[in-house]
Amino acid sequence: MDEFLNRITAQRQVINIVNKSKKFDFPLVGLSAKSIERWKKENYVNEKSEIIVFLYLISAKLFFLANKSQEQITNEYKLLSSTISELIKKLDDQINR
Amino acid sequence: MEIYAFGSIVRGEIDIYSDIDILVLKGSDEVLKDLDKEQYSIYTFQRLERLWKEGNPFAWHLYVESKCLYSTNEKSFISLLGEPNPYTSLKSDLKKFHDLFLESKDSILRNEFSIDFDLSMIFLSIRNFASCFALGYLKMYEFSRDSALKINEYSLQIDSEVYERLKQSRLLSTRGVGEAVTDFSLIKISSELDNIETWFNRILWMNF
Repeated sequence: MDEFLNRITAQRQVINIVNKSKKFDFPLVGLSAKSIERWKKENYVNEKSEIIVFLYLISAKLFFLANKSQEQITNEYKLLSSTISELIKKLDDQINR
Repeated sequence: MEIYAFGSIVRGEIDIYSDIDILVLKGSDEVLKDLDKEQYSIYTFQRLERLWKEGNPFAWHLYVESKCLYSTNEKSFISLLGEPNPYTSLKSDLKKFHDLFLESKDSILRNEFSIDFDLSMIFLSIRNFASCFALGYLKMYEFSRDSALKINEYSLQIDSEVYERLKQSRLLSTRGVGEAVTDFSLIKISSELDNIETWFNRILWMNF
């Protein structure tokens, strides 16, 4: 699949994990820093909570990939996408703990 | 380093949805410390040159709608690059944004857990699909937020409230501003999805 679509699928997966848990009144609606900030404030989530740390990490890595040129992606994509998958799994475990 | 403004501010369009698009061009070894990377589009000079060679829509967008704000050279890098190569990836780009629409639509129909994100992606798919089609087929420069409504006889005919809500979800998903969609709006939007799909298909079935 196209790398652009892959990144969007990963974002949707993260959003689904958070919102499916029904632990937060205000839904997570995106993985931009401003969107995560809004979600954190609306739900009174602690800045240092592991969930926030995971969300910012995943967001940063997806953003990093989005800003790399095709040539750079070829070498780094596999490594980074597996890191992102691991982070998403950790987020899932943390939320459903 | 060079700094450019592009997008709505250069077109003189300012409204509630406008943000200020800033492009920062830097050398590959140049380190820009403490810069909010989400707030600025940061590219190396080399990468921009590649986009120009590819005839990438973003290169065309910058060629048509960017203004140099800061450069230490007499002539800015973009003005020296001149016109980008012809845009040749129309078919694959149209397919990509149509796929994004279909995935977002499926996600909405599947469950309610990512509704605003999906609506935001639908807006993105419509906008980018229209801009690429305008550039590649109509030979029009149409990079505005409402590009889908501005491509003459190919414009998307859509309920204005539904269109506004798609824009609001885009704003919410990217800038964290506004409210989440209500069930009432969602019912109305869902009833328009087939109409939007028909618009995509009408263009995709054309012979390019």
